[in-house]
Amino acid sequence: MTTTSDGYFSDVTAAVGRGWNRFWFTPADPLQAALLRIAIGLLAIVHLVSLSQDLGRWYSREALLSPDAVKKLLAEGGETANYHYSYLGNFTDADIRYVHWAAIAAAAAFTLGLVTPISGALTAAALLAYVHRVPQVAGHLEPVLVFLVLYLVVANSGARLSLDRRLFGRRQQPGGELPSTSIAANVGLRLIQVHLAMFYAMMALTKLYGDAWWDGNAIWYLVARTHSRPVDFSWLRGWGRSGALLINFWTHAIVYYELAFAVLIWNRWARPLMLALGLIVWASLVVATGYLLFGLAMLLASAAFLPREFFAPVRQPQLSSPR
Amino acid sequence: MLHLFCVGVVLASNFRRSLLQNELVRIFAPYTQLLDFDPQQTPYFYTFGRPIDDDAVFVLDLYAKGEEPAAGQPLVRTVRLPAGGSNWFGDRQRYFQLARLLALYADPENENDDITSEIARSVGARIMRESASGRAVLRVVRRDTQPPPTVPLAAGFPEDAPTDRAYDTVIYEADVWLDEDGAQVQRRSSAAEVAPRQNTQRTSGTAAPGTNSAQP
Repeated sequence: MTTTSDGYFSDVTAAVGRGWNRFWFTPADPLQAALLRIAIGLLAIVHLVSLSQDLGRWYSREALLSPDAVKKLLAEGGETANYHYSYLGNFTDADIRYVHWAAIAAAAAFTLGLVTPISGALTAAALLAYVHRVPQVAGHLEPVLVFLVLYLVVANSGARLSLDRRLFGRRQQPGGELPSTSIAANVGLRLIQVHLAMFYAMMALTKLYGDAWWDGNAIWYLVARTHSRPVDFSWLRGWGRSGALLINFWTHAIVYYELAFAVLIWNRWARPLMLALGLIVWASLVVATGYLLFGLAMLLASAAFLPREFFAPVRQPQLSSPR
Repeated sequence: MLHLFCVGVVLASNFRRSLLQNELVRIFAPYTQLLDFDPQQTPYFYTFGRPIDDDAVFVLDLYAKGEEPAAGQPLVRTVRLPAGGSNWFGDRQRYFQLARLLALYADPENENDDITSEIARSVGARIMRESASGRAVLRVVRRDTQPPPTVPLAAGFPEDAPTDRAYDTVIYEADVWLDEDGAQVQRRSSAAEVAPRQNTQRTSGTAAPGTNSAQP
């Protein structure tokens, strides 16, 4: 009996260990991470530029919520821990423009792959500064954008399609050979995948707390908000029962997709379907909520699940380029 | 491994938290809060269809003199927040979020005068400084949404005009003024004086049979 159980546990331990090592430590081509770096970097730039409107009104020392007011609100809101550090509260309306443009410059450098580890860290620090300056109005995008930037730094995403490679590549690799596959690239992409799957599970579970996502009316309550809706779908009310059925389907589809993503994305047969359905689900959510950049961020993060063959058209020209 | 454990715990604790989750979130906070791995109750549900999820905006009537009551001086101008901007990029959303936060704590069920006063004082002071005014009457106005397609509208709410004034409710109203000690705030009416709402969805009439399943 003891021998049998010992054998079982040693087999399980060995199998889990092999699977763990294969999952995390199989070297991967940094090309996928490099393409993601460019896309996420552009998204970070657009996000930061979108903050330019009313910049001083939201983030300066004399903003709508002063740094003191933010601290008091966090304390009054029952937040026992407070690790919201931001340099933005030290700047006046006039000065904050300079640090804002510096943040955009850091994101541009990250996009171009210029001193990528440093520019990536600076981009993440800048994004965090805006979140922590007024956490009460931080949006849905920032928690996704920050982890994507950080994991792409881990993934050595500056090894391909970057100024780093153009400026410093030959010194690092005599003969100008393409960087070989790296474990860091795989670890970075795996971190994105696991974090994203957990994020989907969180989004689905929070929806299940509310009646509107169960009775199928949540999407109606989004598109009926006349101040904040980006597209007017209120004509669906004139459709009566048909409109109600369509709203119900739309609502349920979003919840079921988010619930399914966390599990089915790990299945090689279901993965392409989940990625394709994601385009439809996020397009529908973006027109209902207006969270355009958040929807794009979630779709781009899903690209970490694309198979390496998907990037063959980009890889081939590079491989055949003259050395 | 440890990183993913921390992330998993804070994501699993996003909306409601057990005592254990609360303790773990607090322990991990120096890491997860600082790097924004913890979305900190960001509403990834977008809406639960409650009145507190409806749109709310700030409306500020501005007056020149801080030491005189608003009723005794002419209105200089009215500022609405948000004014302009796009619903696609989040610039208007920030105003809605802050107005919703104030409306949430002005609601009799969650009333917290310290929070509402702090927001009103800070917002009022900023807008008065921008416009060189000394006094403001700050209101948070909520726009009730129409009920879902098969639910009839209550009397007085026009079907074809979802932006009609009938849908607007003043949730919070306060005088804010500047004096030598800074910005001061005085709420005009306490929530306790407001009659409790009879229906959670004010715009709904009698629901058509079989259209809405009540949750336990």
